[in-house]
Amino acid sequence: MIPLVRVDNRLLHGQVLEAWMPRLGATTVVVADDEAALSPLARAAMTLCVPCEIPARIEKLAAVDFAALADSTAVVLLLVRDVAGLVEATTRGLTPARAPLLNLGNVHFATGRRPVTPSVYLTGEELEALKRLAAAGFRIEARAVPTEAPVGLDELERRYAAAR
Amino acid sequence: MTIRLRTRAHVFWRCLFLQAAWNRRGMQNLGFAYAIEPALDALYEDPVRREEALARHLGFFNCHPYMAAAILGGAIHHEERVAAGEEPGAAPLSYKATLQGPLAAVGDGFFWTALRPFFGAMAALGALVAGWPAVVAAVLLYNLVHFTLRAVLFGAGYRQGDAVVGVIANLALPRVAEHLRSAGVALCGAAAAAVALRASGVAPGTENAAVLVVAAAAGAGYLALAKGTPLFPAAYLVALSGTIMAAVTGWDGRP
Amino acid sequence: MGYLLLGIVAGLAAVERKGFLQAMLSRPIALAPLTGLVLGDVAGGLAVAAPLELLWLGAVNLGAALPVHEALGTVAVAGGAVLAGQALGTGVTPALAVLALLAGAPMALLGRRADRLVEQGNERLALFAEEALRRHHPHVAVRLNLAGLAMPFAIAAVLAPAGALVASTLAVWVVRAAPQLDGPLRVGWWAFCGLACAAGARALRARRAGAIFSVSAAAALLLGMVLRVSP
Repeated sequence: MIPLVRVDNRLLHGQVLEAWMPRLGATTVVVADDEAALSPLARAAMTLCVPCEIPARIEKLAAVDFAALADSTAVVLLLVRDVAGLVEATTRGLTPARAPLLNLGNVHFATGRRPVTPSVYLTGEELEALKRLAAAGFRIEARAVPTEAPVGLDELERRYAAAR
Repeated sequence: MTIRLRTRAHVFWRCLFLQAAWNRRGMQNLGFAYAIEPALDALYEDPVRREEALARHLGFFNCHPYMAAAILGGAIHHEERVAAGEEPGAAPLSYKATLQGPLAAVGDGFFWTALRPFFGAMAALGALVAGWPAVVAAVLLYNLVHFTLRAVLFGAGYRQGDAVVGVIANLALPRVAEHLRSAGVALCGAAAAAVALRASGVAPGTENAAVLVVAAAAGAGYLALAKGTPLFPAAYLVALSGTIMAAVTGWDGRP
Repeated sequence: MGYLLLGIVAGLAAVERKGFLQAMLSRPIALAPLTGLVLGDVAGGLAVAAPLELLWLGAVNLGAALPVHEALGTVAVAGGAVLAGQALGTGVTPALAVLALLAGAPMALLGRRADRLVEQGNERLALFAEEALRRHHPHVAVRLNLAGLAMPFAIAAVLAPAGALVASTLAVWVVRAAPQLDGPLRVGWWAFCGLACAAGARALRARRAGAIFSVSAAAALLLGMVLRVSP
């Protein structure tokens, strides 16, 4: 099963390993990212930070078999780098039945982005894409760590409109 | 093109200020640029290239503040090659971008959630049984490990660049962290016993009652926290219910 | 004078905690005795150091998530307890410690809110730095980093003495108004210390932590009792 799909610009780091994995009881982490999968340095660095008892897979997005992950007995935390990665995953077999919950963790600032939570800066196009995903049946929340209160899509929209 | 030891020492000193202007947009961006500036000054004589180099290091960066020393060393390693025309200007940036997340996780998992709490628990137990010299000793020991690793990581990053990942892998920090966490929990258990003995010590004749109060608070508190009770309410509840219980039963913690 | 010193200690601790060094000096176990030291009562500060350290053992800064401000809370609680002990002439008693804790600990939550303000202030510094770089003042740009140390220092230097003032006033008032509560409050303090140890054990997130915690506590208790009985 895939209890959580997380969007995180930094992919694997402390919040994921120290906060989310224990909270979800996750037994496997899958990083679906082309750039990371193709960089030997990134692969070496990521295997470095994952405790040995947790299997970590770093794969190109197109190579991830979402159906198999959803059907397996392993509890999988799936990581993508950005909202675009999320959208691509849904065109390649990620459905609400397989992974109901999408979490926006860290989306860093860049020109043209507006803050919707302290750690998430969105563009208008990304917000539209998230609305389409919600319409398709995904539940969408933003928060960095599980101890924070989740921020739902309606609130994200309101904050985006209010932000400059 | 290499920079002098003196300049590297200057960068290492400035690296201690990495989070001085931590902000949500760029996180440690300003700190990183501040730290690497002496190296860039030494590498680029042309002010235009110098500014260009500094500007690229003002972009987003965030890592564990100790582990960042490795990335800072590695960024200088790559900047030397950029200055010599062997690598494109993007090389130090992709190095930073690739390593920051994983090394932050290693640092959080080792330093913040294992080594420091382990020494914190050791110092706390020391304070309960031996007083302030034990606290001083534990803090000194922690910093011996901390500064040694910080300096070793900085040097390894500078000398070895990408291969610093192998150096860090050889330290087997996650495995050591695992042991430190278990040992830290044991120290907390010993601290609970020390608290119970102190409590009973001040009230001869009520030893068992005092031990029971501490044991009940520790045991029930542990279970409640494990169930997800937030820390603050738990602390207030335990302190107040202990007080009220004693007031109601008339036991005042004295013989 | 005491409050001024408390402000300086809290300000330096707030800087050491995040902006510079991070050598454990702003952790409760070191900061509480230091707070006691500047007020002239190391032992009084040390009396609250261990439980505060264990209570806030899990207060760590992971990525962008902000923990409670354990340093601010520590100066408020330790400072409050020591000042109350000096006002009453009794030194830090368990009753004063628990009262200072109950009144001073929320400073740690307030401090977390203040940290958000600091982050916003620093964001402006980062923007100024970008602007300075555009105007070709690279040295000015990077030196703005150090300006980020001022705000956490100032906030802690104001909030911590205020917290200590509230905590010591309340503690002195309760102990004077209801001296019969001294005993029950003592029990409340020891109960809190027990909980703090449990919080420390939980914060370490070790495997089989519950078992290790209870076995180690029982073994240490036995050992302690044996040592106490034997001369």
